[in-house]
Amino acid sequence: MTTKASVAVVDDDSMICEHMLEVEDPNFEVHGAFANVESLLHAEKSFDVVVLDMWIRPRVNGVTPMRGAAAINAVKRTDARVVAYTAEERPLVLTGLLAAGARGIVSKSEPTRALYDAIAEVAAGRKVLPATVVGMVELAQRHGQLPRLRPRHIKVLQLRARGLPWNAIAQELVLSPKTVQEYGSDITGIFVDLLQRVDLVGLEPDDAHSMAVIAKTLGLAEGDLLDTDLLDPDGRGVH
Amino acid sequence: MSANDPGGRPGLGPRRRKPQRPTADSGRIERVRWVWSRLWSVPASLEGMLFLGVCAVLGLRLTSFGQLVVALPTSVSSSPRPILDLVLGGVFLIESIWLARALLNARTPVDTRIVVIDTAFMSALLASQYVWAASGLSHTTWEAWGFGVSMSTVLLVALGTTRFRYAILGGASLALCYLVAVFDDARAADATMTVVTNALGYFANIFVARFVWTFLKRTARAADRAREREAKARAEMIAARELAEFRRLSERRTFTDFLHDQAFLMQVIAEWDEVAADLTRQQAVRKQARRAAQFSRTWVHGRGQNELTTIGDVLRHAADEFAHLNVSLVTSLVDNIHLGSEALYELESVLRTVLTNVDKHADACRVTVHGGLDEAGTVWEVTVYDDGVGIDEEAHTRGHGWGEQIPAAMARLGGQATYSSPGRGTLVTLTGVMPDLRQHEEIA
Repeated sequence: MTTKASVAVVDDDSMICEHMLEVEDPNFEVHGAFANVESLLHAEKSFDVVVLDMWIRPRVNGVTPMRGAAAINAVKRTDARVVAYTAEERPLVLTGLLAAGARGIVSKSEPTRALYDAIAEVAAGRKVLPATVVGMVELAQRHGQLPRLRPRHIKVLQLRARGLPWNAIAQELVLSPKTVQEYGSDITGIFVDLLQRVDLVGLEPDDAHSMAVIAKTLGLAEGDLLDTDLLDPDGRGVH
Repeated sequence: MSANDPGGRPGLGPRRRKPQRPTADSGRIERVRWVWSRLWSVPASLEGMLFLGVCAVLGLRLTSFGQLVVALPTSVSSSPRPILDLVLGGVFLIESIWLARALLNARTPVDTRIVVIDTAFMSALLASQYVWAASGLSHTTWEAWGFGVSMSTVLLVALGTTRFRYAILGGASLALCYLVAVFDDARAADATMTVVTNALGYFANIFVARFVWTFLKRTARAADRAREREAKARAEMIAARELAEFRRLSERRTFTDFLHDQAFLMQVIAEWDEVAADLTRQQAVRKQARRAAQFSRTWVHGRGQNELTTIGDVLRHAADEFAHLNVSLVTSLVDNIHLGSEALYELESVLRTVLTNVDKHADACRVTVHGGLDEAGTVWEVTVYDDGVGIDEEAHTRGHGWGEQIPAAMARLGGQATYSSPGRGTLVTLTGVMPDLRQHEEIA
């Protein structure tokens, strides 16, 4: 009998938190729901996976809670794997969340099933990227940033970027689904390595863009998801 | 400004080209032009004003030195102590060099230490004329050059003292030493009025220079204050604009989240057992969820009014139009791929037909629209994948869209449309040749 992964949810919507506490899934069990990251850290409990709403709304007294990249950094320090749950759709910002350490990214516009699947995947040690981020991987590969990818990797990447599920890709390439998923895992690993090695600006396709535009596209504007000002020197939240 | 006179200014003639910083290959004339242009680049501010004061003092001192060089042979030949006359000329040169360095370092004549030292030196030099100036000629500037070279010190006193009374004190020191040195000799030579007016000239020059200098400083300060006010107003305007933009983005994000949360809750409700048991109710709830998602997508993107210039624009436009299909969009590779407006219209039309088919027949949870380009950059490709029911090849009959409209449009784009069923769902692939290559092919 396999142990179910222990999951916590951080979301400022109490109905979503309550719903997640009642979710029954063979792969995980939700053991905690918190209104913000500060509450999660204060609870001092350990979880395998934390589903993190990326944009916690300011409280009534106007205090900005920890969110975005700062929140991911803080949760990572508890050894939990982070699934970013976000309405954000800008590919470079989502890529930035991955660079900050999120193991999975799920769009809020996805069906709830997609969120449950992502939690299970991340709990199993895999990474989950939305199609837009896979598109960024494809772009990086075209720009020669991922020389470690072999032709078969590239074929898997191209089909995945077109939205095909693993089974369909396996059928198309006459491979087993497990092998295709391993290729996918390799691709993600190589991409994350790239993110940790090079400046994100290097991925910008249009050289004509100014730095300001790139920063804005990256979500580096004040208070945005990748705002590192929300971190203190130790990488812990300052709120 | 006329079209063939791009650098012209109305009524001022053509604008001169600004000299560039000289390089190792620059000629002598270019270097001189550069130095000359730098002289005129002193800022019209209090700082620039003070530096101009330094330039005026040193310019006058240089002129004085030129006069000394001309006068010194006459002075030495008539002096009872020619060696002392010559040595003092050298000392004057050394003091002038020190003064130039000190003033250029300070970049302002308002430096009490410099003013006091130079005034004391010049007073001593004037007093020393009593010893080395020729008898009966101490009031003349060729034989007794002390008065002539003291004019730069007069200007320094006028410009460099912090109070008017200090300037008068400096002038009094110079006038007194001058009179002590030459008055008796001048009286004997019947030139009393000459030396008295010379002494009074110190005060007159200080008064006039001080008056003009004070006025110019006040003007420069007023200009500085005006610039500061303008810069502050501009900074405040930029800060206010940034704050407004930040608030707008934050507010939009808050509403986006709010709308997304509504969509999420609707999806959750649709999965409740009691709702799922009633298909009609479930469909109604799902419809509500889609509508909430569509609202949020429209709120997030707001791209409806933008002009379509690239394939990426067409894909985004289509995704907005069919937002209720939960479209994942991947446009990174085609964001800069421009097609002509007619071609974009054709592509948009084809894409609309494809997505309408998905909407009507696929029963899909998720649709991915992807734009790509082949490795050689010669063929663009747009794919639409849905995870719906797929295509039953045996039962499938081609309607007007797939049978006529899409093939005709794709032919006009120089490409083709294909579809397949990779496992569950449908993959539609639209390909076309890049516009430049199409032109080459048509010419061939």
